[in-house]
Amino acid sequence: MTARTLARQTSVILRNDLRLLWRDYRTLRWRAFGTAGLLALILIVVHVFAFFIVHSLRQPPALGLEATAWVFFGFFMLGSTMNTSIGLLYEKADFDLLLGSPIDPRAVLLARLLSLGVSAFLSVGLFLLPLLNATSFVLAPRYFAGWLVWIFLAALSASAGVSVTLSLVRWLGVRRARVAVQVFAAVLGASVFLITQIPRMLPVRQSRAVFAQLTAISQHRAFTFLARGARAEPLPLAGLGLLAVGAVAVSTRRLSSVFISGSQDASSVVSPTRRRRAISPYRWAEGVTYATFRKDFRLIARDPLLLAQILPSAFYLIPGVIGFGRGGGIALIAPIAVVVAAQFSLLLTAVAAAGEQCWDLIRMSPSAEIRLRVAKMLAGMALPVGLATAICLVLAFAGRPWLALITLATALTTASACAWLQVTVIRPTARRDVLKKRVSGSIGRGIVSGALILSGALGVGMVSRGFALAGSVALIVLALGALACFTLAQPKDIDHPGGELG
Amino acid sequence: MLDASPPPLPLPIASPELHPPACEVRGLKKAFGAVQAVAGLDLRLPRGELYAFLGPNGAGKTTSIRMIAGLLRPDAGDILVHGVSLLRDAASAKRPLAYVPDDPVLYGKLRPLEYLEFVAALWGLREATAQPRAEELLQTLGLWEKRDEYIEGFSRGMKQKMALAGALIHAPTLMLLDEPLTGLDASAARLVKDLLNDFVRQGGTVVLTTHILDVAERMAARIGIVQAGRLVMEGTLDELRARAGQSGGSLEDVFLAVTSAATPPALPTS
Repeated sequence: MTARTLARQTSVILRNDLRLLWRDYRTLRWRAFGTAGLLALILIVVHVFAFFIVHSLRQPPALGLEATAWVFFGFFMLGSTMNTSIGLLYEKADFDLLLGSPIDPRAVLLARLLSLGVSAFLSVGLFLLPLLNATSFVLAPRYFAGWLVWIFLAALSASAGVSVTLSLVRWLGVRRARVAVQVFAAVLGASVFLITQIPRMLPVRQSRAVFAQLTAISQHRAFTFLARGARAEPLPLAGLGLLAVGAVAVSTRRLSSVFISGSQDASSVVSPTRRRRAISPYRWAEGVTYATFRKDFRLIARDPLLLAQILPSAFYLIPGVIGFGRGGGIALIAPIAVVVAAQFSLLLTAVAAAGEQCWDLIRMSPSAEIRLRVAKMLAGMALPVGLATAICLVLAFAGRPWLALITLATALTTASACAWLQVTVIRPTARRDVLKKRVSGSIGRGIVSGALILSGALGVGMVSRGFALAGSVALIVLALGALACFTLAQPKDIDHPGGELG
Repeated sequence: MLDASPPPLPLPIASPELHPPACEVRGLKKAFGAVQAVAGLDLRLPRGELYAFLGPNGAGKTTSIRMIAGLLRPDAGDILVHGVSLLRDAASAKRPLAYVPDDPVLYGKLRPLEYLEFVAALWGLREATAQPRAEELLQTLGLWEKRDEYIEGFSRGMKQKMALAGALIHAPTLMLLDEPLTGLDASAARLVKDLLNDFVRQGGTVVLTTHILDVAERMAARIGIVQAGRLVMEGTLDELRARAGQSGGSLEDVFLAVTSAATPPALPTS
């Protein structure tokens, strides 16, 4: 097949994808204008901020700093690519049509690769665009070369993301690769964050030494490769361009067979349950609340993808945990128990409530809806509260039993109030989209949940450090806030298309 | 160890002379924007009858059935299930109802008994009643051997049977089935047809939509044909033949004659 035919076939697929994307966007109607307007407003504000900062600098920032920023954007794009790669590669509905047609599979892979590249490019646009414009217009026009670096980096990220994803597909199969990719991307993001937090996590003297080492690394020629390209140095820029084109070409050429076998694997559903030799008698649950709790807890616990999306965010709490070596002692993990319980309860309850899969069945039944909501809330809370309990046990065994008890009570209060807010307003959403579309995050509920978590974490944090009075005030605020949630936030009708009968 | 030959399915027993009818629909209307999906539907379904609801694509069959199942709010009209208004007392009216959609959505990560446990709890069944019944249903429908597997690994036909088991767990007296034989192989289709015939013989009422006219012809006591949201003809097969002027013709002939007419004939008044 000639390159021209490949390009033509790729353009056919891309044109269709673009048309569908545009139709999706048009269905938003006025909301589309609202979203675009909000985005434009944010871009203007960030631009003003970036121009102000760069103008106040008056001279180009250190090469090491620029290099660190570019590496950060590169990692961000790679993480974004990996997050979306499985969905874009294997969960599009048009595979049977495309792979059954005479179109070369490499054209399908190339089209998906380009889509991933565009999505990686846009993922950092909100921050990178203002910085590039500010440095180019205020400092020196040579910074316009940053646009090319941005494009090349997006292409490289897409190729690397697809390569990693398809390698995982080859080793693990599509189903397991889907989970592994999520974990990998989350760990990648957390690692970048943790590296920046290393100086904070270590004792002061070691922290300075590590900072000096990191500064030396950031000024190394290999590390500054991207930054020098963005400053229009011809050699790094040309090298990066060649690298990007080569990576796209090699990925498309070498990975198409893995892509096809993966797409065949993706369409077949294989139950992961291992057959037991002897099936034990089933222990039946009675009562709609208990049965619903069991059902929703099972669906959460048996969804590795969901857990892979949520639990790795605990990595971001590691600096706090390790930080106790700097003087806070083991008591510093008390606020972490509150945050873990509340934040994860909020997300898992949102998935259990908004992501309910069988609304027809539930709406047809004569059961009281409030019992179902409470059961879903409890199912969402079970795992996070279990984690918080484990942390509290560590506290108790470390000689702080009262603090452990206060922490557990605070974690329970915060988690239940945040979870309750999730079951009062339920907007049915496809389960896999609940986290992606931030169904849990209406502004009002987000602010209230955030305030509750802050009060709880602050309260136990203060108590753990001996500021009993200030801690008590924060905990009273939390208790009153939780009480207000339970009394003022009443369950609203579920917004089903066509309306409710009961 | 369980017996290889499953016991007969316990189905509700109701006396046919009991009143009121299993389901009565009065002046049902539903519009989606400018499209009038159902335009004044009237139905009266006595107990112990299998009623086939036929019509071309987009005629309003599924919308009507979803309204009767309590899943869509009608714009006008009323639905009485055993004399109880679904609009005024939904919880009581829903108790004897069961609905199986054409493409049932099930919890993929649950096993069959876990699914049935949840459905039984939704209808408030006690463990002593629900568990043996769930096990019987799984045996009857040939799913007992699969009881330790997740539903997501089931074939379409097995999922259809699983949905049917879920619909039967609370011993309903009125079953609404949207294309119940879609995706079933010949033996599974026979099993479901036998099950429905037994259900009707024991006093249950079935409303089913199907595009397999042969099934409707052989199973249904009465047939209703809808077009453009209206019931254009209703009766036994012989009555339909006579009204459509297709004496000796098959249900397919009658159906095509009725639905291809440019103007739908008015509903004959008895």
